[in-house]
Amino acid sequence: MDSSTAVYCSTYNESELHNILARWNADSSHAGVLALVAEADKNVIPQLQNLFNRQSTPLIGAFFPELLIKGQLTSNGFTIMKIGSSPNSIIREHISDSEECMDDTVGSIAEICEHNNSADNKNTLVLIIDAMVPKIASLLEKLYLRLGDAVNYMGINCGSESFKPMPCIFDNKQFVQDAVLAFTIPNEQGAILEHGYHMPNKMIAATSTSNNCIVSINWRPAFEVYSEMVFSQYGVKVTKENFYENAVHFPFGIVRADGEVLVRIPVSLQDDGSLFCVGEVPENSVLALLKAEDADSSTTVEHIVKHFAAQAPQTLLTFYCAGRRMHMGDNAASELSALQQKLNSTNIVGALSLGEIGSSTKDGYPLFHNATLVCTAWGS
Amino acid sequence: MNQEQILSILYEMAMVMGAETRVEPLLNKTLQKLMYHTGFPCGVFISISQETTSESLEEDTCINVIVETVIGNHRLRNRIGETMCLPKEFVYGKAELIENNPRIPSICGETADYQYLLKLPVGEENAFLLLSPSPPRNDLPFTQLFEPLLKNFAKTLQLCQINESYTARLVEEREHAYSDLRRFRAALDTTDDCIFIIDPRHMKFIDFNQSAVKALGYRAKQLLTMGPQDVMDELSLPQWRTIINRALNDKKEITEIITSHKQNDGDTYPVEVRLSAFKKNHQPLLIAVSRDITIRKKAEDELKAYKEHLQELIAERTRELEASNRELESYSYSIAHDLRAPLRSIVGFTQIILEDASHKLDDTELNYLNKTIGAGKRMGTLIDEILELARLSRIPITTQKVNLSTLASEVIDTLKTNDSQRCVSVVVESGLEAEADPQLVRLCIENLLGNSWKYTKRRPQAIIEVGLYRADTPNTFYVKDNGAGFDMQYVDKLFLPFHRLHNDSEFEGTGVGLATVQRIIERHGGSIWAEAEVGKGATFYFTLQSGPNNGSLPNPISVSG
Repeated sequence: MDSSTAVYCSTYNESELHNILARWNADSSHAGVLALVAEADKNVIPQLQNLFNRQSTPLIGAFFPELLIKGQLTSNGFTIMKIGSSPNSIIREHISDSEECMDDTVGSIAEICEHNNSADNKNTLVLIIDAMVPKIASLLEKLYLRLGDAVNYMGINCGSESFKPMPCIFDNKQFVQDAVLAFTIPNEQGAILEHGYHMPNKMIAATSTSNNCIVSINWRPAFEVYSEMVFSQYGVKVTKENFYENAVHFPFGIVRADGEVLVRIPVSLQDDGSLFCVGEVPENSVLALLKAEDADSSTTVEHIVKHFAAQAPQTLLTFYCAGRRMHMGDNAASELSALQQKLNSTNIVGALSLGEIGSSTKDGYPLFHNATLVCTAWGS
Repeated sequence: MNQEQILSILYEMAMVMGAETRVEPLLNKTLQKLMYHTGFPCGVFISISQETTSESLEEDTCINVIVETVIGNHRLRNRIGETMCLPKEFVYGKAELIENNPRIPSICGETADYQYLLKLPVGEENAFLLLSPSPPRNDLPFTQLFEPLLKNFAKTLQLCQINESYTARLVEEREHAYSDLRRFRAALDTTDDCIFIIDPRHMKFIDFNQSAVKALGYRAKQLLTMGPQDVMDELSLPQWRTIINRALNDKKEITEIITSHKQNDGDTYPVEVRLSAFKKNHQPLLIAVSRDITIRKKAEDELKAYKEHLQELIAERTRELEASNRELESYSYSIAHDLRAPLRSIVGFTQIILEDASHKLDDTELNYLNKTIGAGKRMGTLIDEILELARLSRIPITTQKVNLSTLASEVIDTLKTNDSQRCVSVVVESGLEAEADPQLVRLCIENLLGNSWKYTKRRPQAIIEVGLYRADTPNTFYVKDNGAGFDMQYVDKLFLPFHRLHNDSEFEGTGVGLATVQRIIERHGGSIWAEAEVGKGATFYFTLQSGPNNGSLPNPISVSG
């Protein structure tokens, strides 16, 4: 691993960390650190906070289901990543409690972006959001209305793949849930996102939704229609008990006029028969039931490689959707290996994410997705 | 895209647009949805400007547009509301993707690297322009999707514009009404009267002015839990219900009651409450205007006490005056009575001198003595009349039915007997009757007819009439003659004792007769007045009992008092 910008630690070793921080501080006196922690080792977070506070080094981070190291997934340890200068960051909690809370959050995030922007260099705004926060797409829409193309956008959802509420975002002092961590990094290229799903022919309408929940499809209870469609088309019986394991293979696609789809993985079945997705589903959205084989792995990798081929970065911060990993199974590892091989000189680090923000084209309209890979160059 | 996919997106967009009623959110949401569906990072909505600039004039292919809204480009956002000059091909025509046009990057300034323009015209006046540095990843369904979508949007935009204009007018009218209401409310709060709105179903106040809060000393929240029966507890709840039901039924009337306000500290003060009913949303309500009448009540009490005191004063003063009158009458009677004896002596001794020593006296001396005797006799007559007048005030009256016609005829007969030389035509109406004291009324008739007889003595064809005045006054009698009459300007002196309107040389008299008549009439509870004209005669009207019509005679001249 390129130890000048990112270091993976399988266990907490204070002296080793001390040495790394000393080296980074020597290079850049106000270096801050982004920490990506594997859910299995989230207990290390208080130790990291303690150490970084003693070192007077700014720390921000979150935990994820698994980590991505050199194009391979691992369920233990943590990765620390050097941010060149003191990170311009903010953590805001309870962002979806009310319109006012969301507007305040948008205002605070916009301020750090506008404060840190320069005419010459465009920054990338990175959003790490607790996966249990509803209305993430609305937050993104409001941010884009305010900031527009003043920044590039990249974002991921963190937390547990169990989709149970728990603290997952931290800085030097806080370790919180139902929150968003926002920070900017100098990055001209922005982020690129890809999923490889194709739009099927048969459409259905989300006739009633509530934030992340699809309540009814074609004016009937959502789960009833969903399970019927999965069974009739693929012969798979989806029940409450096997819901997540099966549903990741049959996500919804929100249809767009340009022929692209926005993937929404239903991750849990609610008591009232509605389907809880990671990410909002606007009412009257046109949905499609995506086929498992629609996820075209080779196209996905090619698209990303093409974006970074011209100027391959030393480190590529990469997030891979946990739902996609579950759907792809062993192919997920192959997909990541293929990406690492094609960007041979690049150190691919990151984590499994529970939702992703980005655009499939450079400077494109950012959206909140599921089941994607999202990548951005890290460091100079 | 297949037909099902296109219809589905049209359905979704129709639902998004149909949910909006105002222009700004409609523009933002539609623009954001278009960006979402196309992946274009920058969207602009423009309207055609009517203004021309040198740039647009120079280039025939250009047109001025106004930037209405922008999403995605922070530099262009600063130009919202401004006019910019664009090639006409960017604005007019069909929905299409324009690329490789050198004017595209300049739309957003030099720093933007947009190379692709998605033109989506909305009618003839507006257009969405979507900009992107990259081409769309797939072909866009212009004809099938964007054209019907933009037509639908144009109609929705028009509806929103109409709605906004209508809403703005409604808001303005509402603000106007609120402003009036605030002024009215301020006026209500300024008045000293307490004003309450009462819900008669629950017998609670539902609103009141500041004066009510201040005057009663309760907090507004407390007052809202109370009703008239709590702050005007002189009247019980059933009594209030009765009053309020009456007020509700008397739709056009105002019900007034006098009661008192009970303040929070237990003090009370009197109030006059005016209740009137009205309806709000078909619900009957009452407005009660309660006025503090402490000062008025105090003034009324003082006036009442003063009136009572005044009556006492008048009664006392009357008693004093009556006593004084009695003393005066007694004194007058004594003086007159005492004067009679020396007067008789003067007249008697003068007559003796005249009889015994007339041969010793010359004519002048005899004339003096005769004048002394004549004057003494006149004085005697005067004293007798004064004594008679005084007597009339004191003697008790005993009334009975008196035939005035008979009485008048008897008096005329006596006059004719005593003065047989006169030729007088007398007409006495028969059947004149009255409840009166016979002796006193005879004296009254004697005086009136005596005057008529006297003042017609120079008329060769003297006429005297006695009758009943037949206007609206059934009990009014009159005595009329065609004698000397008198000047009406002296009528107020006519009934005063010792006042005469004629010289003794013309018509002899003492000036006590009419005073006597008036005294008799007044003692019968009646009144007397006169009408006359110099040289043409006089008419004396009189009643013997006070009646309701006495005061409504034609040109009556009151002589009472």
